[in-house]
Amino acid sequence: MNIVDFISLSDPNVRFVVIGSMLLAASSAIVGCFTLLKKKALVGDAVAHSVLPGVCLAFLLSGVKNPVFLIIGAFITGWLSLVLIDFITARSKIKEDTAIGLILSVFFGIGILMLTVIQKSGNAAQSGLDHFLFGQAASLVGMDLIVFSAISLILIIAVVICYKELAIIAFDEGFAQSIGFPVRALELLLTTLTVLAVVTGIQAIGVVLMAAMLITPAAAARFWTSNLKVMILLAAALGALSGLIGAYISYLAPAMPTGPWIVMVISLIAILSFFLAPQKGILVRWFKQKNFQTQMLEENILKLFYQLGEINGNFYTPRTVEQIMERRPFQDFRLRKGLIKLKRQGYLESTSQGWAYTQAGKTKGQRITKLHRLWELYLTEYLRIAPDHVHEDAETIEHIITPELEKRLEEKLEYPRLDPHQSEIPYHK
Amino acid sequence: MDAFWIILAGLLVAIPCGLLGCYLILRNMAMVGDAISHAVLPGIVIAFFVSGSREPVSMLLGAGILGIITTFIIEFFHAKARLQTDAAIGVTFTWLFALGVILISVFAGKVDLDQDCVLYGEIAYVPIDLWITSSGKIMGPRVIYIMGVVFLVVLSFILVGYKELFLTTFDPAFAAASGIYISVWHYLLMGAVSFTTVGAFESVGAILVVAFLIVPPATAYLLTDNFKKMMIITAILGFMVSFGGYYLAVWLDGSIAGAMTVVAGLLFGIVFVRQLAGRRMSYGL
Amino acid sequence: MIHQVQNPIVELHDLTVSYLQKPVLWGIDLTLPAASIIGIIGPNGAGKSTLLKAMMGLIELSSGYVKIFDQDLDKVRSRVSYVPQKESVDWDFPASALDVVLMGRYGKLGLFNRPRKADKEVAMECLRQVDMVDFAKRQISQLSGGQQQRVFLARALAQEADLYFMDEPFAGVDAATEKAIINLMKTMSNQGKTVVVVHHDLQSAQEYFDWAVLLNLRLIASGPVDQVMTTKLLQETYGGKLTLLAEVGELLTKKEFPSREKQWE
Repeated sequence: MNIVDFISLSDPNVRFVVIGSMLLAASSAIVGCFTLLKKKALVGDAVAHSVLPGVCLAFLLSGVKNPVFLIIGAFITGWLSLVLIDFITARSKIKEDTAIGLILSVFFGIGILMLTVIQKSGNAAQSGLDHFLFGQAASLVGMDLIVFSAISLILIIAVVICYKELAIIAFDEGFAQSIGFPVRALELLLTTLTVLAVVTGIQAIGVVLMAAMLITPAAAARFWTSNLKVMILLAAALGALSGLIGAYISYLAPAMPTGPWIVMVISLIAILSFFLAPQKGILVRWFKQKNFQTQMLEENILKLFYQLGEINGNFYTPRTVEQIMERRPFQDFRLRKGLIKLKRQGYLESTSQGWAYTQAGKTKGQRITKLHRLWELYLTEYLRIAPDHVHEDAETIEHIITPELEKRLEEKLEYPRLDPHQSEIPYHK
Repeated sequence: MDAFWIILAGLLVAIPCGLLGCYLILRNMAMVGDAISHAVLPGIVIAFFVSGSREPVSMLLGAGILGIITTFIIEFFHAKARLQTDAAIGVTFTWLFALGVILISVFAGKVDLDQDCVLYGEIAYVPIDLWITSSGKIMGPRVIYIMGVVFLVVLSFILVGYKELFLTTFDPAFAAASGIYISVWHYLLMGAVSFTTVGAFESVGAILVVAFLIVPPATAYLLTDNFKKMMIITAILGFMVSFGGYYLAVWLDGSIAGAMTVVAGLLFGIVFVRQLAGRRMSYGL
Repeated sequence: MIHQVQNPIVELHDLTVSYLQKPVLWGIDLTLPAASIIGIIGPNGAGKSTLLKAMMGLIELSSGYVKIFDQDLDKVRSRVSYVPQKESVDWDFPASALDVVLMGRYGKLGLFNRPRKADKEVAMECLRQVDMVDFAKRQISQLSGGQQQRVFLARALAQEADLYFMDEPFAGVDAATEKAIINLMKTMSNQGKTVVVVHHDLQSAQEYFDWAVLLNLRLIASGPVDQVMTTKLLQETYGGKLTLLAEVGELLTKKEFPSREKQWE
C-alpha cells in the first residue's frame, strides 16, 4: 500500500479504479464546459439528484445490480427531470431556478424513499446501492467499469464530432437558429450528453456532489483561457487529475468516500485558479492595480519636477523632499520609495542639494504634463466641462493615454498652445 | 404518540422553511437556499466535534455562521473573481458539502453523525431523542424544542420585517430609493434561512430542508395571487406534507423525510396539472 | 447652451459615474429649476437612466456630489420619489395594484409599523388620480402595460413627495395612458412639484416638457425646451460620436485602471 504500487498500477483493481475515476471525471468536465457557458450550470445538479429514483427503479424491477439496467433507469429519470424543468418553466409562472430546485428535491426524495424501502426489503443484492449517494470508486469493478468507460468514450467522441454545433449553441443560440442550425435537436443532444455524463459519474462521485464535476473543472478552466478548445482540454485534464488524487486517497483510506475527496480536490484547484490565474485571477488583478498605483505615483513625481521647473525656469534644479511635499502632499514613505525607484530607472539623480531631473526624466515629466493639459483642453472643448472641473479627471487619464491616442489628441485639438488654465502645453522639440 | 411527535417535528420544520421559501422563490434565489442548506454541513460537524454533543446552541451558532459565510463566498466569487452566479453557487456549495462529508469520515466515531443522516435525517428518532434536564426530569423530544424556538424566531422576524421584506423582494430599486437598506435585509433573510436549515438539518436532513424551502411555496405561488395567502397556503401545505408523508412512510416502511418530499411533489403535481387544464379550458372559451 | 439656475431643486456638481472603470457620465454640472417638468433626452446608452439613479443615490459616484433641495439626499429622502423602469420588476409577483401603491407609504412608516386605514385611503385616492380605482384589487400581472405604469405612478403619488424621478414612464404604454400621465404631470407641476423624466421620443418632448436636458455621456445642453431643442444641439446629441472619449473609456475598462486616483487614498 504505497504510492509506488499505486502509480505503477500493478494491481489490476487499482488500475480499474484509477482509470475509471479519471475517465469519468474528465468526460463530465468536458460536457460541463458547454453547460457552464450556456449559463445552465445548476441544471447538472438537478440531473444528478434525479438519477437516483431511476437507479432504484431499475433495481426494483430487475432485482439485480446490473450496470446496464441501472444506467438505463438513471438515464430515463435524469432525462425526465430536464424535460419537466423546461415544461414547468414554459407552462407556468414558476421561474427556472425554482423549477430546478423543485425537481431536484422531489426526485431525490422519491429516490431516497425507494432506496430505504429496498434496503429494508431484505434483498441481499442491494448492498452497495447506497454508494450512489456519495460515490465509492473502489466499488467500480469489472463489468461496471467497462460499461461506464464505454459511455465516457461515446460521450467524448460525440463532443468531438459535434464540437462546432455545441460551441455555437452555447455561445449564441439565437444566431445558431438564424443560420439554420437545428437548435432544438442540438439542445436535445446537449441534454442527453449532460445526463450521460452524470450517469457515468455517479458510481464514483455520488449523486449529491456530481454537479461539482460538471461545474467546477469548467469554472476553473475558464480562468486560464478564453479559447473554448483549450478550456475543454484543460477542464478535462483538471477533472482527470482530481479523479486520480481522489482515487488515491480512497485507496489509502478505504473508509473515506471517494466522491467528496474528488470534489474537494477539484474545488481547491478551482479556488486557486480564481486567485492565481493570469489575467483573470484576483491576485493578478490586485497586483496590476498596485502597479498602476506605483506608475501613477512615479509619473506624478516627474510631473511635479516639471511644474517646479516651469516656475523658476530651470528644469534641472535639484529639489529636496520638503520642497516636493510643499507643492503636493504625497505620503512620505511612498514618495521616498518612488524617488529611489526613479533614480534606479535613470529618470532622476540624487545630488547633495536634493533630487534632480536627468534628460530622460525631463522628457517623461514633460510628456505627462502635456497629456494632462491636452486632456483638460479636450474635456472643456468637446465635453463642455467647466475648466475648474477638468483637473481631477486629467489626473487619471494622463497616465493611460497611449502614444497613438496622444498623437490623435494633438491632431484633433490642432496642437493648441494653452490649456484651459492658460498654462503652456509643452511639446517635445 | 410517536406519530404525533414526528408529524409535529415535520410541521415545525415545514412552516419556517416554507415562509422563508416564499421570499426565496420570488427573489429567484431558490438555488441559493439549496446551496445554504448543503453548505452548513461542515459548520454542524465542527460544532459537534467542538462541543462533543448535540448541544443545540453551539450547533445553531456554528452552522448559522457558515450559512452567512456561504452567501459571502458566493458573492465574493461573483463580484471579485467575476464568476457567473450559477457557477459561483455550484462551486461553493459542493465544496463545502464535500468538506462536511469528509469531516464526518475523519471524525468517525467521535461524532455521532453519519452520511445518510446528513441526507435524510433521523426524524423517526425524534420521539426517543428526549431532552432530560440535569435533575432527571424528562421534558419531551429535544427536536421539538429546537424547532419550536426556530419557528418562533422566524415568525417574529417575518412579522417585524414584513413590509421591508415584501418591498425589497418586489422592487429593490424602489426600496433603496425609499431609504431601506436592501443589503441588510438580504443578509438578514439569508441568516434566517441558515438558522432554520441548521435547526432542521439534524432531524430531517438536507433534502427535506430544500424540499420544504421550495416545493410548498412554489405550489402556493400557483394557487394564489396574494402574497399573504401564499404564505398561509404554504403553511397548510406544510401540514399536509408532514401528515401525509408520515403515513406514506409507515405504509411503505421507508424514509420519512423521503416520503414527505414525495407528498410535497405530488401536491405540486396535482396543482400544476389542474392549472394546465384550467388554462386550456379558458383558452377554449 | 447650459443654463444654470438660481435656487435649483437639484444640483449636480462635477458628477462622474463609472461602470467597470469606464466613465458612463463624464463631469456633469447641472442645475434644475423647481416646479417644472424636465425631460432628460438622449440616444440609447447615453446614460439617462444612470443619471437618474445617480441622483437617487442608487449607484456609486466616481466623483462629484448631488444636492437635492440644497441638502444631502439622505436628509430629504421622504420628499423625493423614484419610479423605476416598468421592466425592472417581476409583474408575476403575488400582489394587487393596491398592495403596490401602499408600498409608497412604507418609507414614511418606518420599521414595525403597518399601513393604517389612513394610508389605505391615501393609496385609494392616488389610484383614483390615475383612474385605476376599479383595478385596486386586481392582481398586477393581469394589468396591461399602460395600467401597470399607472400603478407605478400612483405608488409615487402615495409618497407625497415634492420631487419625482421617472425612468421612461412612457415606454410601452397606450396613447390614452400617455395622455393621462402627461396631464397628471402638468397638474403636479402646477402644484409646485418637480418632475424629472427620462424620455427618448423627440417628437413629443417639445410638447411635454418645460425644460430639457440633452445628454450623451456628457451634458450637451440644459435649458428651457424651446432654446435647447435646436437642430444643432440635437445633432450633437444624437450624431457625432466622440471616438477619442470612447477609446479612452475602453482602455480604462480593459486595463482595469482606477477611474479616479484618489479612490486608493
